[in-house]
Formats: sequence, C-alpha cells, structure tokens
Amino acid sequence: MKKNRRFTSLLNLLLTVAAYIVIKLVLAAMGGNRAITNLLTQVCYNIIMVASLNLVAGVLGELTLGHAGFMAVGAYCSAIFTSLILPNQAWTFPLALIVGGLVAAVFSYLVGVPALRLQGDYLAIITLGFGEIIRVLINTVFAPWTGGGKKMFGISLYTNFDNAFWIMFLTVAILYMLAWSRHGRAILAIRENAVAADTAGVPVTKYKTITFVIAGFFAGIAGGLYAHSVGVLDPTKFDYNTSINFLVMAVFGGLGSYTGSIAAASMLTVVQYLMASLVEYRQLAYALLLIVMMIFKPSGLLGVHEFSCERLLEKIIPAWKDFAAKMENRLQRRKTRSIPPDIPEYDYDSEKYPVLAMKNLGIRFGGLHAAEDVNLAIYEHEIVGLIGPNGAGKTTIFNMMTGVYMPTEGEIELMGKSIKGMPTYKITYEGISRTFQNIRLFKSMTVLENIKVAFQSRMYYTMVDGLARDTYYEREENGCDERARELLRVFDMEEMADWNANSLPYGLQRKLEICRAMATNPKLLLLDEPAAGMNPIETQELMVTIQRIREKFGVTILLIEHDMKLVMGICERIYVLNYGRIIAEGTPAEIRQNREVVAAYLGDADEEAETEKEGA
Amino acid sequence: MVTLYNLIGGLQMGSIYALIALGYTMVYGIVQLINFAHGDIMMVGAYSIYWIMTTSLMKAIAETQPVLAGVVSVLFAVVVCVALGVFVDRVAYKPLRNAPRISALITAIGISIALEIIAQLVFGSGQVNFPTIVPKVTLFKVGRRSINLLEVLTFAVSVLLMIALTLFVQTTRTGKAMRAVSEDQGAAMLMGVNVDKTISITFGIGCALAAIGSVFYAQKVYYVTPLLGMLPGLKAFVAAVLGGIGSIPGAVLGGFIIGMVETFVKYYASEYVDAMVFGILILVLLFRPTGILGRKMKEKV
Repeated sequence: MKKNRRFTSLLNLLLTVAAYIVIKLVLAAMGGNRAITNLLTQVCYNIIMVASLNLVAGVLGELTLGHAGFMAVGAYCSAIFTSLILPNQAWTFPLALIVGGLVAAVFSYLVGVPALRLQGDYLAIITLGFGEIIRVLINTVFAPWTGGGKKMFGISLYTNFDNAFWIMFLTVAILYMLAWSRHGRAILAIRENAVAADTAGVPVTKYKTITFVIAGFFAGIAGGLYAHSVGVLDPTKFDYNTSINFLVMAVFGGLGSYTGSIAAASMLTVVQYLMASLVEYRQLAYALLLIVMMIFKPSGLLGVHEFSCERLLEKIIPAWKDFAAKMENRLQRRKTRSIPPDIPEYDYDSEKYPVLAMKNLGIRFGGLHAAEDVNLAIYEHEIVGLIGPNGAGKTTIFNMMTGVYMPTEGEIELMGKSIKGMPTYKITYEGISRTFQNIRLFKSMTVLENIKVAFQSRMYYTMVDGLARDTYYEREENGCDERARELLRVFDMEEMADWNANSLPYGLQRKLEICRAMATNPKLLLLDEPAAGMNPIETQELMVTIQRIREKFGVTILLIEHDMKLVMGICERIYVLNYGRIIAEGTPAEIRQNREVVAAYLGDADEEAETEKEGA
Repeated sequence: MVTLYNLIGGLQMGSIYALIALGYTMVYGIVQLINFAHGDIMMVGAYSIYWIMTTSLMKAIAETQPVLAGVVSVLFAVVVCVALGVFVDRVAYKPLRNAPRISALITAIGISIALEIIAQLVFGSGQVNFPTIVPKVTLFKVGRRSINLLEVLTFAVSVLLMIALTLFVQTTRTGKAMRAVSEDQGAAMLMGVNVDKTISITFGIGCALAAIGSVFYAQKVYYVTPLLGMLPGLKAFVAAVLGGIGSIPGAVLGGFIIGMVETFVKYYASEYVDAMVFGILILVLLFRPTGILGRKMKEKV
C-alpha cells in the first residue's frame, strides 16, 4: 500500500509545466492580450489567498474573516520596500515579497495568540476586528508611508504572469507538502478533535498559532504580488467584502481541499471579471451561494478530497498502476533506512516510587468539592480499578491526572516526578495516556493516521525537513508507518489500516482508541469505562485485550468501569470513590466484603447490604 | 463638564449597545451561534420605519397624531424584525443544528451579506434620511448640558425592557424552557420542551430588542444606510463577549461599558474609536475569556 510519493510529485510538476506552456501558447496566439494576462495573474494571487485561507478555515477548522487584512499588510509593506526603501531596483522584488509576507506573519501572530488559545469562534470575531483596524491604521498611523486615505501610487509593476504563476505553484506545493507530514497530521487532528489531539501529544495551541501564521505569511505574499500588479493601493480594496470573497471561493471549492481552492479561485475570479459591472448582484449571488452550500452541500466542490490525476489515469489506463510502481522504484535513490519512533527510557526507580502517586489531591469547582483528600498509589505492571457510583468524581480524577483540570490542592507524581500543572500534551510525553468515556477519534482520518498522530511526541523532523522531503523525513515517516502497522497487528486491526475511523463498528472504535493511546508509549494507561456500551461477548474480548496489552507492553493500567464482572475479573486492586473521597481500597475479594462500599452502591439500609453479601 | 457631557452620551449609546448585545447573548446562549446577521436585522428595522413613514397613510396620520404614528411605526419595525429573525432561523440555521459550528457561522455571514445587498438593491446604497419619531425636545438641563427626550427615552425604555426580559426569563414557563434548552437541548426535549419553538422565541425576542435598538440608533444619527447595522452590531457583540457571552446581565453591563468607552474616546481621539473597541476585545480574550459575568464554558471531557 506504499504511496508512489516521488513519482506523483514528479508527475504533478510535469503537469504544471505543461499547463504553464499551454497557457503561454494560448496567450501568444491571442497576441499577448493585456486584459487576459492581467486576469490570469489575478487568478494566481487569488489562488494563493484562497489556498492559505483554506489552510485555516478548512484544514485547521477555525474561521478567519479578516484575511484581506493580512493581504493589505503584505501589499503595503512590499510596496513601501520597493518604492521607498530600495526604489527602482527590480532585483529587490523577491525580497520585498518576503518582507511583506513576514510582516503579515508577525501581525497574524499578534492576532492569533489571544484568540487561538480559546475554544469557540473567537478567531472569527478578532480577525473581523483586525480587518477593520488595519485599515484605520493604514489611514492614520502609517499615513506618512501609505498615503493615508489617499491612494498609494507609482508602485513598480514587477508582477507578471510568469512570476505570479510560479509563486502560486510554490505556495500550493508547500501547503500540500505540509499537509502530508507529521505537522499536517497534527493540524488535521486538532480539527477533528482538539481534546483527543492534546492527549495524543499534540501541542494544540502551538500548532493552531503556527498554522495561522503560515496562512498570514502567504496572504502577505499574495498582497505583494497584488501591489506590484496593479501599481496602486487603496485601503478600501481590503475591506470585509474582500475577505468574504475569498471565503466564498474557499467554501465553494470545498473547505479542506487545496485542489478545490485552485478550481474555485480560478472559476470565480473569471466570473467576477465577467460580472464586473454587476457587483451588487454578484455579491448577492455569493451570499446565497454560501447559505445554500452550507445547507445542501457543505462539502463544496471537492469536499476534503484532493483531485489526483493519478487516480484518473489509473481509471483510464489499466496498466498505469504497475507503470507508476515501477517508476517509483527507479526514482527511490536508495532504500532509505527507517527509524521507528524510539521507545523512551523512563528515568525511574521502581523500587523507590510507585508509577503514579496522588497525595491529598483535591479540586473545587466553585463551592463544590468534586474530589477531596484523594490518596492513591499505583505500582508497576498493576491493573487497578477505580469504581464508584455515578458522579463520584472518577473521571474528574482522570482529568486531573492528564492535566485537563488543574487540582486546587495536593500533589500528583508520575514515577517520582511532579506532573501537577503540566499541560496535557506534556503529561503524554511524560508517560500517561488515556481513552475517553465518549469515544474521541479523529473521525475523518484513517485508522492508520489515527495511530500516527499519537507518534507525534516521539518524532523530531522539522517543518523544513517535511517540506524538503529529506532523509530525516523519509526515515521517520517510514519508521512511524511500520510501527503503527505493527501496533495495529497486535490489536488484530491491521487489515483495517486504511479504513476511515468513522466507518468502524463501535467495539472496534473503542479498540482503536486504546491502540492510539498505546502508540504514545505510556508508562500508565488510563481507560475510562472501556466496556461502556459493549455486549457480554465484546466485554469478554476486551478483558483479554487489556491483559494482553499489559503483558506485551509492560504497561501499568488504571481503569474506570461499572461492569463489575470486568473489574472483579482483571483488576488486582480496586479503589472505591464516593462523593469525591476514597472510601475503600483492596483486592476484589476485600472490596466485595466491604460494608461501606456495598452501602455506597445500594443505599444505607443494612438489610439490603446483608442480602447483597449473601448473594455475592 | 466634559465628563458629565460624555457620561450622558455614554449612557445613551450604552443602552443601544446593551439592547443589541442582548440578542447576541441570548441566541449564543441557546444555540452557541454568533448570529452575524443580528446587526443587519437592526438595519432592517430602521428601514422598515423609514419605509412605513413614507407611505401616504402614515404621513397623514403623522400630521395629526405624531405620537400614534411613532408608536405604530416602531411596532411595525418590531413585527418585521421578529418575523425576519424567526424566518432566518427556521430556513437557514435550523438545518445546521448538528453541523460543524463553522458551517452555521458561514451561513450567518451569508445571511448578513444577503440582507445588506437586498437593502442596497431596494433602497439604494446611499444614505436616506430617517424620519423624526421622537421629536427633538429638550426636557431639562444638568449644568449647561441640555438633556433631550431621545436620550431619556433611550435609557428609560432600555432599562425597562431589560428588567422585563430578566423577569420573563426567570419567572415564566417559556423563560424556564429557554434556560433548559440552553443547558441541554436533548434533555429539554425529553422533558417535553418544544425545542424548536423555544429557539424561535429566543430569536424573536432578540430581534424585537434589535428593532427597538435600531429606532434609538437611527434616530440619533438621523440616517439609514444598508451598512447601518454592521459597526453597532460588531460593537454590541464585543459588549456581549466583554460581559460574558450567554449572560443577560453581562450583556447589559458590557453594553454600557462599551458605550461609555466609545463616547469618551470619541471625544478625545475620534479616529481610534473602533480600534479601541477591538483592543478591549483582545484584552478580554487575553485575561478573562469568559467575560466579566460569564460562566466557565469548558468542553466536558
């Protein structure tokens, strides 16, 4: 199932060159029609805008409404660079574009940091505000350089179809390469389920910010191309409507699909050109298009899929697949070694410390003491159960262990080291991993990709390595692929590697979640009601699986469960929680005899407790 | 003197922002959607009054019975806005209740633009003069600052409406249903609450408040444009976030704070007003993302 990566890249490059030559020939045949050339140039920078918007709104899943604002920053900065700082020197143009992109990136960092820490729609509002503010700033604070409310004239016309086309190609190639690397996987995982991404070891806020900054950078580049294409800058050209225009294109093409972005940007830019005299009707049509698409076809033209010429060729020419595989073999310069993600050596003396210790731990939510004075210790290779009536605070304890909640009192130590107050993804690095009561998978990703996300914490190649597809990238990706398949084999799920996680039946979804948790190579695995919703046979299988995991990986397991057959069957020790306090601890046999526990489950009536005891 | 002058202006603007912010906060509280079209509903309210006051019947009434004409036109605006709000919810938002948040948000933006463009096509893109509903009468003076009827009415009506709304949400059956739906739609449905109807009522109330806000706003600036609702809508949203989105007293508090800040900043450096308001938003998001009176809204894990 290995992808023909190199061959595909080469094929795409060849196709792009061919497209370029065809366009050039057509243009030459039309006698170098200026209007058409300008239109095609505009298509190019619009594609850059829409692709970078797609990175945020489609791939990351956060709405941005001020993308034109970043374009404005790039446009003005690069124009100031070429006309005021180093005037009339054509060689400065690439430099000016980069400067424009970088300044736009700085602005997107400043805008992104306050909004992206939060869940919710704050980015939409803050970028909307930014789009308005930036025009105010251009008109006031930066007026000495930008010409203020008057337009900025006389910008050298360095942009032509040729450089716009190749910069567009480069942009799309970079965004595409980014998508197929560990960083791209992390970003997708955040869109699918931020909480699960966090526990899989993805630093969520960091990745959100990086993504937004990259998008800002490319919007800045597009701005620079625009400025040097039209020669005149007018702040009103970068208003809310402009941002929405780009959004419409991205939505129309399919949020999440770069090829969709390219198609939509090309088509709608031409439509705009043809309807130039009917601005109002076009905007109305756009608005209705947005509404109708969201209701009836939210996936747009291409959904999250990418158009691939290879798939098309495979369909048309039967022998294509073999040919492609052969070519790929020849293109692989040498067999790159694969480096599987290393197995971390925990610096830990099992004689001295329990794997996990909670000391007088407690948390308050307002007036409610959800957990109080919790002391618990879990030793190496144990399977420990945490039981208690509904609302006793079991999941709250898991949430404190994994950094989702910050305990208000007490201490948590993992292998002798305090982890209290650490962010979730760091706790994952330290060696705790978990599953959730309500399953949290990266639904639109494949089973294999779900696992690969969890290798994040033990992969090291940088974004640049990922873009360059160098040996670091090759080795780690190959290794990660092997290791992920190995892991799936242990869970008897190897043949489902390329299925969509969403298409798995319920029991396998739970299994996949456990498998993903194991991919972070934890010292301690937390299972939150693993048997919930399972029938007796599935539960029986689950018990075998849990025991096998412990044997195979030497992991320590703490599980919350209501199914007493499972708890009594596989746990060596059990803690009982009631009203946020530990009321009992001991072996299954001891717990079964404990009057307080029986009372907590069945009420205080002694008679009932007696009958229960006899029954047991 | 300057302080007093601005204080009164701030109370007036604050009342308007609070009225609009209430619509945002109630809708957000119940369906977790930022209703981007809310500001434009307000614009529609202003145009409805403009339109009905140009009809010959209303013109005739206005000559003899100006108060009646004013009341009728305001009621008309309220009816139009409520109908529009409920319609938009039913047609555009309801199919997307279970869709990703970003879909509903994009739809709201689509509605917002559609309303603006339709207004542009019907009434032209330029300004039209807003008719006089509240006559320009000075009621009394505080120091040298004269206080007119519009200012008093804006403040009084807004405060009354806010009290009425709080009582409504806290004491009536429908209010209880609204609170239940905002806590947990599924559970509310199982307890026999008609969720769709409750959401529609919430949209209706929000839009009615926006319509009344639009009267006070348009009467203050004396014109209407298709983009009338955009900036006040945005600022009211900032007010709702500042007060704590989802919280009714929060929206009122936020509205008054934004109104005050805006009036004072406008006096000293008018070109920075909008930047200032968004600056506040950024500060709130940095230091207290749940707003002043907001509840903690963390995803349940």
